[in-house]
Amino acid sequence: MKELEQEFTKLVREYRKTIYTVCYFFSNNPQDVDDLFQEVLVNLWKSFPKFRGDSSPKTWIWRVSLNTCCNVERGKKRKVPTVPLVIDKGVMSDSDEGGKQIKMLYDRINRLELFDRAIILLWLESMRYDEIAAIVGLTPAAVTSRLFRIKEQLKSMSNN
Amino acid sequence: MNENNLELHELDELKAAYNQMDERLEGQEIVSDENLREAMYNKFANLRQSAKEGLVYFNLIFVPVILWRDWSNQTITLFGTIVMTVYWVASLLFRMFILRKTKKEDYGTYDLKTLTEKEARYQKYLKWGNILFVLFWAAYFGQMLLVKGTTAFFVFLVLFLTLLMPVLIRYLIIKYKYNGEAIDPATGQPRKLTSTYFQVLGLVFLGIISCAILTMFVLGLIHAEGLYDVLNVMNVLPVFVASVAFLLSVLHVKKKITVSSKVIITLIAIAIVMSLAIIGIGYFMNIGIRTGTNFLFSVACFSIMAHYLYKARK
Repeated sequence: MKELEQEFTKLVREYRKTIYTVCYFFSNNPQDVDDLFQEVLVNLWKSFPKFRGDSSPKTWIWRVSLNTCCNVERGKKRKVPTVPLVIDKGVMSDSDEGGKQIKMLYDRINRLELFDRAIILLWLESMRYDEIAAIVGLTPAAVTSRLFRIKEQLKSMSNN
Repeated sequence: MNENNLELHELDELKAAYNQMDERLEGQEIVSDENLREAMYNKFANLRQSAKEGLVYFNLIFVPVILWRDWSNQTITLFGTIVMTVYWVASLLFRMFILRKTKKEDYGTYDLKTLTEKEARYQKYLKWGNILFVLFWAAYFGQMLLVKGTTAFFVFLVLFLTLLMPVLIRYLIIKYKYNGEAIDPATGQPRKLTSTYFQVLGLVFLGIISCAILTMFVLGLIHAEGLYDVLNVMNVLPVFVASVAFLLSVLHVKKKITVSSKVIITLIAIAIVMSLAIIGIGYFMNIGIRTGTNFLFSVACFSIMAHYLYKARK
C-alpha cells in the first residue's frame, strides 16, 4: 500500500464517526447510510491529493461529507451497489433511553432543509460560528441568523 | 466566550442525544481497509453496466427502429443515412471498446490512486462520447427537417440553439465565478450549479413551447376542412397529454411536487389510447392519417421517459 493510501486510510479511520454521523442524519433509511458513506469515501479519496492542509483535516472532512450528502440527496438515483459498513446494526436501536434520544434527534433533524441540517450538525459538533461559516460558505453573521431560525424551528418541533 | 454557551436550555436535550450517538459509535470499526477498494470497484461495475445497457437498448433496438421509421416515412436523405451509419458503427465500436477495456482491467490489484485515475479516464471517454452523441443527433434531425422544408429546419435550429444556452450559461458561471474550476475541490465532482438563470430559462422555454403548441392546435382546428384535417390536428392532443405526464414526472423526481403514480399512469394511458384511436378511426374510415405513426412514436417516447423518471425518485 502506498504512502498516500496509508495516510488516507488513517485519516478516514480517525474521522469515521464524523462521516457516519453526517451520513446518518442525511439518510432516509438505514440502507441509505451505507450508500452515502460509500459516496463520501469515493469523493474524499478523489479530492485527497488536492488537500494541502489549507484547512484542518476536520474541516475538510466535514465539508466533503456535507457537500456530498447534500448533492447526493438533491441528485439522481444511485445505481452503484453498496459495500456494507462494519458496524453493529443495533447500535442505533431505540430499545433503550439513549437510543430513543438519538431517534428523536434524527426525526427532528430529518425534517429540516438540507442546508439547515448541515448547519445544525456543525453546531451540535460544538464548532465556532466562523468555522461553520467557512465550511458552509456563509458569513459568520449569516450563520448566526440562520442558526437562530433553525433553533426556533427545532423548539417548535419540541413544543409540538 | 464561545457562542455555543449562550444557547437555550430547550436544545440541551439535542446536544445530549448527539453526544450519546458519539459515544455509541466510539467502539465501532465502521470502515474496513477493503471498503475503499470495493467502493471504487463498484463504480467500475456500474460503468460497465451502463455501457452494456446502452449497447443493447440504444444501439441494437432504438437506432434500428428510428431508422426504419424514417426510411418508411421517406424522411431520411443520403446525408442522413451516412450520418446515422457512421454514428451507429462508431457508437457500437465505442461501447464495445469500453466494455472490453473494463472487462480486461483487474481492479483488485491496482492501488486506489491508479483506480481513481482509470475511472477519471473512462469518465472522460464517456463525456466525449456524449458530446459526439448530441452532435450526431443534431445533424440527423437537422437533415430530416430540412427534407420537410426550410421553416421546419429553422424552428429546429432555434430550439437546438436555445437548448445550448444552459451550457453557455454554465460555462460563463464557471469561468467568472469559479475562475474556470469546473471540478469542485471539496467533493471532487463537477460543480452542480443551482443558478436561478436555469430555472428562469427553463420556464421561458416551456412557456414558449406551450404557447406555440396551443396556438397551432387552435389555428389548426379553425382552418380544418373535413374529418381528415380534424383528425390530423387532434393528433397533437395525445402528444400534449403525454408531455404533461413527462413534465409532472420531472417535477416529481426533482421533489418540487408529489404526484400519485395513478395520475401518471392514467395520463400515459389516455395519451396512448387517444393516439391509437385516432389512427384506428383514420384506418377504418379509409382516410390515412398523415402523421399518425409519428405522433404515436412521440407519445411512446414521452410515456417511457415519464414512467422512467417517475420511478427514479427516491
